[in-house]
Amino acid sequence: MSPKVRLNQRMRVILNMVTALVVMILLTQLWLFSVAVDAAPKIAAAALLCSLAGLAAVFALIRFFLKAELSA
Amino acid sequence: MSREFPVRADEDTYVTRREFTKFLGLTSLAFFLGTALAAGRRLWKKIAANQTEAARVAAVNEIPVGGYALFRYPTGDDPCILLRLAEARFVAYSQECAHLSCPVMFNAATRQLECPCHKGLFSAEDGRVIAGPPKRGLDALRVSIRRDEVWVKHESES
Repeated sequence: MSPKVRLNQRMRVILNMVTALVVMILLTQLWLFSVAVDAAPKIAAAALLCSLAGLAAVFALIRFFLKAELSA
Repeated sequence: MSREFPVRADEDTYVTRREFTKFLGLTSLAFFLGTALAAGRRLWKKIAANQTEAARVAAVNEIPVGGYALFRYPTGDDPCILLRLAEARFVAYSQECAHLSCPVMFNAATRQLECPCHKGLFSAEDGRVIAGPPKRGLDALRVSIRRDEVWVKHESES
């Protein structure tokens, strides 16, 4: 197996791990949206903050992946 | 072109890793914006309601004990219901079900407010959920009697 193919496979594994984590965060964000739609204002505000944290986590994971890809 | 994989290589659309991660990021952003819209709408309604003045609903003798009156407060798009549970006990709630905003109706026999859409039941005493899909109680209004007239105002946090 050539180093290029090995690197490509490694990046694919990392992307799969990142995707799995991001999908979990996206599902949580979807649930938070459903909570915010019919919750009391205070709970809706808390859901909004959690969704923001999820968005930040998604961008951090993507940044981590792109950094790993660049350094590889 | 094989039967097992009937897509020609030159016709296939190739998605790069960067495009895929961009798609994930944009999906997350869309979910966040949706949540912000929903939460903002609820918070805005709450703030606007707290700034509205008290409104007269009816004269005391217009509503019999066990009866109710429908009205709109604070705007024409906000249906509410005033209940007379006893001689000197009035309560008022938003008529919008906390589940999907169907109008709730008063059942004097059971002393409950019923949502006909998904069978949500609320206590007429305090608006709390008794049964059904709603996760929270009805929004209550503060009721006061002034010169034999029933007035309502939004409950403020303080």
